[in-house]
Formats: sequence, C-alpha cells, structure tokens
Amino acid sequence: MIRALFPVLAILAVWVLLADGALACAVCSGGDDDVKVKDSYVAATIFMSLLPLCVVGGGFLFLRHRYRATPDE
Amino acid sequence: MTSRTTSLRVVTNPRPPVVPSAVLGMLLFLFTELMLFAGLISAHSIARAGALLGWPPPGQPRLPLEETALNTAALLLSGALLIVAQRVFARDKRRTKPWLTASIALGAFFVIFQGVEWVGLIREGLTLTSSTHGGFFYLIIGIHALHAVAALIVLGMNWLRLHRGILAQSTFAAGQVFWYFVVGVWPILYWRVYG
Repeated sequence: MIRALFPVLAILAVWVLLADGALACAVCSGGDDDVKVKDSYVAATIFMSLLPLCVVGGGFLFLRHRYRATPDE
Repeated sequence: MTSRTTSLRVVTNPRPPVVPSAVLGMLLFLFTELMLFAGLISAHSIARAGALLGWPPPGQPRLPLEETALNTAALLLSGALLIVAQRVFARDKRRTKPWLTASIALGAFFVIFQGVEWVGLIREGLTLTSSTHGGFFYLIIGIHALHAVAALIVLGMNWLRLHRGILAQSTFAAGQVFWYFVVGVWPILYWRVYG
C-alpha cells in the first residue's frame, strides 16, 4: 500500500519543490513582486485557513463545557 | 395466539438541551457571516498593500477616525448594557426593560451616526465607484451596518415580547448572540478599515 503511494508522493514532492511562487488572484495586483503584497497574501491565507478551524474547535469546546455543566435527567 | 408486550419508558424530567435550538441556529448563521467578514477583510488588506499611490489614494478623503472612535465607544457600551440586561433578566424579568432599551438606543445611535458620517463622506467625493478605497469602505462597513440593523430589529422584537411578558430565555439569548457578534466584529473592522 505504502509502496503504491511512492510515485504519487514523488510527483507531489517534485511539484512542490520546483514550482514557482504564484499569486493566483488576477484582479488584485496578481503576480506582483512587491514584498508587502506577498506578505499580505501569506497573512490572509493563514488567517482564512486558521479562522474556521479555531471557530469549529472553539464551538466543540463550548459544547463540551455546556454538556458537562448540564445536569443529567 | 401470541400477545406482544410493548414497554414504554416515560421520561418525566428530560435532560435540558445543551444549547437552545434558537441559539445554536444563530451561532451557525453567524459562523457563515464571520467567514464573509474575514474574506472581505483579507481582500481589503491585499488591495491596500498593493496600492501604489498610498492609502487612501490621492484625491480621496481620509476616513473620520476620531469621530468613529466615539461611535465605537457607543457600540461597545451598548454591548456591555446588553450583558447587564441578560444578568438582570435571569434574576428579575421586570427590571430588564430599561437596560435593554438603553442598549437598543445606543445601537440605534451607532447606525444613525454612521449614516451621518456616510453623507459627509459622499459629499467629500468618496463613493462606491470613486476608488477601491471607497468600494471596500462602503461594502465592508455597509454590510456591518446591515447586520447592525437586522440585530436591532431582533432586539426590538425581544423588547416587544418582554413588554408583553412572553419573552423566553432562549429567544432573548439568540438576539443577544447576534448583537454581540455585531459589537465584537466592529473593533476589527475599525482597526483594519479606518486605521
């Protein structure tokens, strides 16, 4: 099973290592070499990736806390 | 002939819901709204970073940072008053009305003040199509104002129910969650859009 995955992992590794950095949004200064813009893209990507995870995680902890605090029948 | 016996378990005192359905529904709705604001703020940050001629662009008015600080204080105070209203509601429903009224009044002040601010900005030349700056400003702050108006309507309906003596704890809690969202998102918008 793991051996079967080797070619896929190798292709993925080559793809990640050889690919140039790309800013995909065509409408907001896409492909701009400006460091500020690149930093903004990175910050926005991290923010948009982590926010839903934090909210869902926080929601889970909140529900668990409420469940434990609610008395049984 | 066979007889079938069915046993019924009668639950006399069922476990109360972990979160009332109204609150859970509101939380799910607000999660999607949070992602909407997050997307808008991210797009705004990227556009701002890529502005070659500075932000705001030349010829466009500066946003009224100081006046809006006063409005921000009014909104935060409104949220604080709603927390007090919720605590009073848990003890004595009849004494809740002044706190809820004050909270709604301050929220209404926030929305009206923003309307006045918008009129001034439009007169100075900042419109939805005048620049990216204007477009983002009216889109982000406008969507927030829309949420503020909707939350005020919900709180107003809660006020009416309270007046008639039929306001349930879960209904009030759902309205509160909506208003806390409006209050909680605003400082981030103020920091990113006005700052």
